[in-house]
Amino acid sequence: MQVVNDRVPRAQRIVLWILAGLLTFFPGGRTASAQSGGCDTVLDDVYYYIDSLYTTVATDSANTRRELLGIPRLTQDQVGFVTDSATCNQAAAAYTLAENDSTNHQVYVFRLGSTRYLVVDRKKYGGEWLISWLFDASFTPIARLGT
Amino acid sequence: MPFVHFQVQWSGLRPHGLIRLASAGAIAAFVACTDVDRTVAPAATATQDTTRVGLHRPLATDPGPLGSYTLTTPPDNVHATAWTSTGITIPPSVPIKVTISGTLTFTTNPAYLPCRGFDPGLPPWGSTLGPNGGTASPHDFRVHLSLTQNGNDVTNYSPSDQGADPVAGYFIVGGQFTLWTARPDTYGDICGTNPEWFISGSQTVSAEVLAPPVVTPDKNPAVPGDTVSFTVTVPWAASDTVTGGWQWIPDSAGAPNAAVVRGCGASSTCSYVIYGKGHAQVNGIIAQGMSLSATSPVIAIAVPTLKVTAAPTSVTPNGSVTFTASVTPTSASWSISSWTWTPDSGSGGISPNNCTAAEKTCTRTLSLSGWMKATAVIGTYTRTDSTHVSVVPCLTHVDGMDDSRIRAAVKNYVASSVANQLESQFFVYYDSSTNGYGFVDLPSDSASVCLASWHPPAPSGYPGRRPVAFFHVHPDHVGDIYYCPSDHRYEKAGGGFSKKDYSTYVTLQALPDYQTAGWTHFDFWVADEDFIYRLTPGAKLGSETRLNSTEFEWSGGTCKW
Repeated sequence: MQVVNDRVPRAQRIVLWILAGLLTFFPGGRTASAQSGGCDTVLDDVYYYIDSLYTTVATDSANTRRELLGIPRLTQDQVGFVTDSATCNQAAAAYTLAENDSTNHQVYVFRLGSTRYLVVDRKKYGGEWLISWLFDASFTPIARLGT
Repeated sequence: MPFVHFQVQWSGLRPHGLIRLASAGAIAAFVACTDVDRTVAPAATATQDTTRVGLHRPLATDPGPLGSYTLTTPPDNVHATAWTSTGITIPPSVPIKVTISGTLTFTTNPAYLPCRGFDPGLPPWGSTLGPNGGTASPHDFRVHLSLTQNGNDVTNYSPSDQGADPVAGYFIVGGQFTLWTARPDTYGDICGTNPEWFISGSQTVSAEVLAPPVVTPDKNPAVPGDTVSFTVTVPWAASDTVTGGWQWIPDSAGAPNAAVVRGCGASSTCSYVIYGKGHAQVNGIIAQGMSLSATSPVIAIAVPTLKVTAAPTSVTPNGSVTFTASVTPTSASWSISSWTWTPDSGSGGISPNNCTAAEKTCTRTLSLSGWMKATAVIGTYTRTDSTHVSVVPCLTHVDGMDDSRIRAAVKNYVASSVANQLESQFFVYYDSSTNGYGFVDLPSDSASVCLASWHPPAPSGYPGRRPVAFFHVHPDHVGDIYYCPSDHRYEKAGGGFSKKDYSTYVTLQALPDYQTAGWTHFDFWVADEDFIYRLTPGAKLGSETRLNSTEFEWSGGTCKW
């Protein structure tokens, strides 16, 4: 869902458009190497949102939602954020392949126990949902999740 | 040789006596002790007068001291203390109390014995004498008070014995006067320049305006047809009687006359059934020998209201609910004529029976949601009010969510969204005027199974209402695979809040007009076909709580809505 707030004054809207344009051409916090895909090193609110959400879902003793999403029940320390570039590159490549596009995705990679990876591009939306891919340990796609 | 006490025949006294007689007639017309009623303005009116045009200067007629004057000892210890103005102005038509305090002390003059050849001892009253003076007539050294020089006494004193100190007197006058005082009657002998006794001490005259009698109603405002009881009291008098009777004076036209219920006449209380604005007047209130009148505050007329409440407003089946009917103004006399129970669907739902007219508060067991209506007779009015009670399978104790009508809305919105495969949303509010919840549809500008755009409602459109929650529906089960048109791809429903849902909630809370209107504390609920998820405000934006909790398994589990 998204709210259309047309009560923002026109002048403010113009400023917001300019800021949006600047962010598009000069995105802060990104490195040249990140442009080519791999780990997304910008840990913004999307990162915290995903981390918090899937830690809760994976550790939820009420298994209905977790099982429906194909996520094993884990303890909190079995949910980890992956930062090594080799795994990130592999995950980004798997994400690109699964999405069947040519984008060099920068991704967040979460390890869900020993059998699952959750890979998220914080800029990739399907409708109101962030598109995350659930992979097995060898990055074979399991599900395209709306998150 | 025998000594005979005598009154000093002061030659100058005689002409004054004539003047006294001449002035007596004029004063008598203005002095009222028991014969003439003086209407005393009600306290409320007096208060208004003292605050006019921004000057808080008490009027001379306001209760309080008027002034005092001290009489010194008689000249030469023998002669009369001449009439003198006290400088105290006595206002008209208000009860006045004068107090005279202090005694004269008499001691034998040692020079008198060798002069006259005998010891005079003490005067008949002994060594001291109060303001009443001696008991013989005329009363030696008595302090007289008059409204003119050489005039008649304005009042008698009590107590009346010669040693009493202080003494007081009460009176009302019809015009404005200055108070005069004197000790015209003397006692004692002078031998040459030697008086029999030396006299010491002084006596002070103080005057004050007394508070008017008070007529107090037992209720104000009242509703038409109500009984209002009045009581008259005179705060400064040990006792008072009513001789002039009671009167109801209407202050509005067109209302039926008030009717006496009990008391009135010569009673200190009086009860009227009233039908319009007005006040009670009491005449001939006798206190301290004065005849006073007084009026009550104006009794305002209130249009009564009836309020019916239920506690709790939501229960599980066969839960107990207490219904209470109450009336404003609370002082009004009223009765219940009926209670009516109307379930939202079907019949019955209340046990063991409906509430009865004898009960203003009743407790019953409910198995169905519905409305309880009370009808009450309040004076000449008949009023009704009702309240809704929800019976739900389980209680969440979340604001608004235990209302059966909101639950029905959730069911309907989810069913409709699923049928149409379109997201939808509505807004749940609390209405303080009905003490109930309601909801408003928030139509989408555009919608699909995975996205909806909509406009937040403006607070100005919802006076008297506060938002409880924004409710957004995802038309799927957790784990469903659906085609998202804007993405041109299939995706699996992850359930719960999307990141954009969370951002929407933060945006709503930060809207300037929401801040201005105090719309700062509301939930954000998301429902899919299985669960309801709930976001609640945090200490600040970005710290919202319950982000990931699966709040209610509303369509399954142990508590299927």
